[in-house]
Amino acid sequence: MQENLSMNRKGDGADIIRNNLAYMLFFLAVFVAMLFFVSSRMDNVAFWEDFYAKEIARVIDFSKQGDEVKIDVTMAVQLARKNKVEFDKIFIFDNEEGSVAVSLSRGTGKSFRYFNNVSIENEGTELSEENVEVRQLIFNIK
Amino acid sequence: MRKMNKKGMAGDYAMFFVYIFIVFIIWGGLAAGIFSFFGDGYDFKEAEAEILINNVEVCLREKDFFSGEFDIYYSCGFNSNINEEHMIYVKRASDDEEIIFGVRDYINQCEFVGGKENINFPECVKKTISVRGESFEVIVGSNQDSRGILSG
Repeated sequence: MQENLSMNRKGDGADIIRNNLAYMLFFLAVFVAMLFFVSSRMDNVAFWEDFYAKEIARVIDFSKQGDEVKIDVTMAVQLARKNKVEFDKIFIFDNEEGSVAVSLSRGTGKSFRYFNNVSIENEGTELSEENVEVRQLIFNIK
Repeated sequence: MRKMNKKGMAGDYAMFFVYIFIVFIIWGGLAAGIFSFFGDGYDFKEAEAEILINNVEVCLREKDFFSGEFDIYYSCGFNSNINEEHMIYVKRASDDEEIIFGVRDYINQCEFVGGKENINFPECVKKTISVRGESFEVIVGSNQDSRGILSG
């Protein structure tokens, strides 16, 4: 009886490890997928692309020919830098279509059309004179 | 002894479905939480319609919309792209003459009560404007949302 018991215990132990290994592998796979999903959503790049495209279009719709526009885009630039987007590809204006495109992650972006019939010139970003931490998008309305 | 072990194992295997169920509940909750917080996007239709109706008002005060040769794009400085996802409706009160630019069906969609809660319907703004002793009813609708693009 004692022999049987010890044999059973060994057998159960091996079975428990084998069974739990499947659970643990599954749990690990789910956990890694969850981490990846949450971390990709934490930046919320799609929202910020949408936000900046619409806000820049709003400013253009409000503006008149001859205006110089400066917009604080620090957060967008930080996100783009984190996602290795080249500086000159973050904000792209299409004067023919009348649209602004914002790309904060490689390969994707959001575009929004403004209704004001103006052309955007001399666009670029520079550091604010008041605060070097602030990055500004600057362009002229023609 | 072997039979007893098999019965025990069957109980363990049955728990796998409970485990999967719990995992799905957690995943579902996480996804629902994230999408309810971030998923709606940034709604800009009403704000855009407000800006557009103000620009139309400025233009209406300067130009005669009901002259035969009137071109809203040239006269008011609008892009022709407003034809696709916007509507500008102007009605002169004195003779009920009306003029519509853009998507004509938005005039119906703007009046549809059920559309207020539907994100696929345009957001509309109405205004009554008095110019040179005449009253005009102006309705502007916008259904523009940002479009996803592939960037280099």
